[in-house]
Amino acid sequence: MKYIAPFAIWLYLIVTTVGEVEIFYTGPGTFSVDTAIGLIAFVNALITAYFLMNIKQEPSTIHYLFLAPLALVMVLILTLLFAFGVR
Amino acid sequence: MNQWIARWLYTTNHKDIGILYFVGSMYFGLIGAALALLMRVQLAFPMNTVLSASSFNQAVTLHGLIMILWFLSPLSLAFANYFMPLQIGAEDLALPRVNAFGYWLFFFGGIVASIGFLLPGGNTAGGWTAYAPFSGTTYSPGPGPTVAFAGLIMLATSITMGSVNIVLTIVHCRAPGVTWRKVPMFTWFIFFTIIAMLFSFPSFLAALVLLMSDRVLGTFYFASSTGGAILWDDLFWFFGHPEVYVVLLPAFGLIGEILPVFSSRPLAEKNIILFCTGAVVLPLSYMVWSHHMFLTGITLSESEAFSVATILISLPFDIIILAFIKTLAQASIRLTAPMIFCIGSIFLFIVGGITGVFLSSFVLDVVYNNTYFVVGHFHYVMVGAAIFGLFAGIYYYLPKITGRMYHEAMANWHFILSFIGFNVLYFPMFFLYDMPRRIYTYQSIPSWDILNFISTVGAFIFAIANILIIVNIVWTARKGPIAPPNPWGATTLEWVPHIVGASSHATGAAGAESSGYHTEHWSPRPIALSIGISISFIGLALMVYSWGFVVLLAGLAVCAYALLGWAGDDLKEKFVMHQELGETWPFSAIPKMRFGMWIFLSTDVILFGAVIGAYLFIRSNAVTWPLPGSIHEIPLGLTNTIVLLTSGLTAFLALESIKEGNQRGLIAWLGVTLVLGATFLGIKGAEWYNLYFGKGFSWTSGLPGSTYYFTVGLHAAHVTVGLLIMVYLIRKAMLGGYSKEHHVGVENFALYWAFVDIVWVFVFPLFYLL
Repeated sequence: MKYIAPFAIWLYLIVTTVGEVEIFYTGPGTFSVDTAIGLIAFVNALITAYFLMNIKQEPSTIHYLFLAPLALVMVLILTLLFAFGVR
Repeated sequence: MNQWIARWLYTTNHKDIGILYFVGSMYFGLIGAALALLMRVQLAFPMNTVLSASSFNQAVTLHGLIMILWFLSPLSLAFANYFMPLQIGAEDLALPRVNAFGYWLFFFGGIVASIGFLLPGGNTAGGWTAYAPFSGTTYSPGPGPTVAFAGLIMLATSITMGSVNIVLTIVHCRAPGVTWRKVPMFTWFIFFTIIAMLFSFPSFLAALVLLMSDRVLGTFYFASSTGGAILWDDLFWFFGHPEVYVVLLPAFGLIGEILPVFSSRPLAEKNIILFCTGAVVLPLSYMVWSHHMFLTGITLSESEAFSVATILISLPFDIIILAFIKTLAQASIRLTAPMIFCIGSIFLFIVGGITGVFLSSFVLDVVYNNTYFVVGHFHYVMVGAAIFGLFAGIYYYLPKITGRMYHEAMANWHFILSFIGFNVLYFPMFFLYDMPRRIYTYQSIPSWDILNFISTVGAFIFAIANILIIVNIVWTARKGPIAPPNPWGATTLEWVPHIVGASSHATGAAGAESSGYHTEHWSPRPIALSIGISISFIGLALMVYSWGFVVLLAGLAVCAYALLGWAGDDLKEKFVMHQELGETWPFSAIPKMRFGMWIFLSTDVILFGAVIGAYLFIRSNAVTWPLPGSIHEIPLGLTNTIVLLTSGLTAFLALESIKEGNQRGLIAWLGVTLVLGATFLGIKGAEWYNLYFGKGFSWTSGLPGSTYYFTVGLHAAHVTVGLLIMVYLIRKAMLGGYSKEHHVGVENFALYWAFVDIVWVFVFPLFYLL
């Protein structure tokens, strides 16, 4: 029983990753497909961090500790992307 | 080996390493100062020929790099190493061997960076900012610049490791009773400084590794004409601007420590100062970097946003300075050397700060950009304010370190001459607002001629003045009168005699080797590993010669030997970590080492974020890009993703096994994870082979190849490190090294491996599907 949750999460990650590829084949390079794939990757990363990395068991201070560099990276990436304006 | 030499090579003690940082930074400071004098001699007269254009450019570049990264920052680390643990009642830094490794990496990094002067073509000459495309092989050919950038990589790695170590110490190693409210000002400011380092240096590291990749492997990150230069600017200044505060804040911490002692009253508005400093570091210091890029063609709206943020960051500094002045107002001030240097530092910072406000306006920046006005401004902040504050710290703590009092009259003359010399050197630069910086000579213009000559005279006065502090330190250590245990009547913990120990105080606190603590904790591994890395990097940079590869292999062999020794020491439990029982709030629920891993991973987020950001930037600006699925084998990528995700599950199960005390389960699941990780790399290798030889898709074939191989390669390097860790863990598990209660190594590995999984969760769709 104890290992049901990690196995279920693993299975979910595998299925959604296969799903990513399936969605890709429906229309490579289109905006809606790209958005869907990006969204799945984002959710999968969150789930991996939350359950396999055990963030859910860490105190909230660790959450903030990890959010700080993520926020800074987002600022860096957005600055890079908008350096020459929206294309 | 002679015991004295062995002590300084193998020590892991924080006080010894503090002394080493002090000596090392002073050594590099002298080199940087000599280069500055050469530059000033060249510029003293128009059309001077003391230095050639190339030599001048090399001198100005290395002067900047050395002074900022190998002198000012490490001088602060000297204080942090020596006094921060004493102030919080910690026995040592949290990871003493990592601390020693960080020092040697810094020291040899500086040596490696300087080697470029001796190589054909000379050293890097594109300015300390290493702007692209000047730093590429087209404009900076030859092995010299490559070696210099390798030295910088070593330094950035050293600082990142040191940052993790110091944060871990402050958060997790405070003595009982040393709550955050009782943490002294210097330690608070070191904490803020380290936060600035922690998230800024990984971006610099990413930029440098990308640059090395461009130079050695022939990728195109910064050579690209579609924004390569802007990419470097952003990655560099994301580090470069917080670095200003990295240099400045330790000096302010020392001022915050010294002002109350010598004005016989508590520091005014301590909590407000801390709040303002926190606001400066996070988030403001990371919100202003593009003001260095106003004229690079970035959009007006981006310039406006960064202009406002830059003006905003000056406000907390105003408040800090006002609080310092309030502390002095109507106080009974003792004007000894530490105090007069503090006052000098505050004055110089005000001048530097006011001129900085001019530069925050992007309209005025059009006029001042790239002129000597900028040079004057940042020297007032980074040299004047920082170095005068650090000098104050040296005089303040010299009696503590040596057990002897310094020569007060000589110290006063040091201040008078250096204050005059500094202002004669840099103040004329504000009037040279029409003279471009980084030019090696100029046509005679009356206003330029006289101001440059005055500036050079000031440089020599400043240089002569600073010989006095070296003389004073040597005199103090040899002949200074014995100092009382607390000569200034300070109230912080580092001055309490029983903390330091009477014997160590009398012989100099660093002379604690007689206690026996040192010899038990000597380790040759940190210096050996640093030497191995240095040789490897030199070999990598010299691959242009046929024997470069041999040097690289020799370096890697030394690294392997040192790492095996390090792991062997751990397996024998030669360096048992003490379990601290002090203040750990707000991280009480997290064991020290696990907290350390979280900190490390947070720096890795920046590293990967910068590299993935670089990819997104290049991709969004590229005119053409291969269609998704046209180059990469999606089924192969999918298979690899499944393999890696499965290894994430098995790593998790390994941890769960040992949490239940199941040793065999731990070994079995780690073994499966190892096989899956190796399979991932095997599939990746086959995929690369097919791409390279089958499809002719290489890292030199264009930006798609460069970004793919580098990003996936960086991830593969992380997987490889994970495999090596697993081999160690399995070996230790087989020796019974883990139990239900003690399994922090496995816990940290599981965290690391899950992080590697998460990165791949993004990398796979980014490169294969989008």
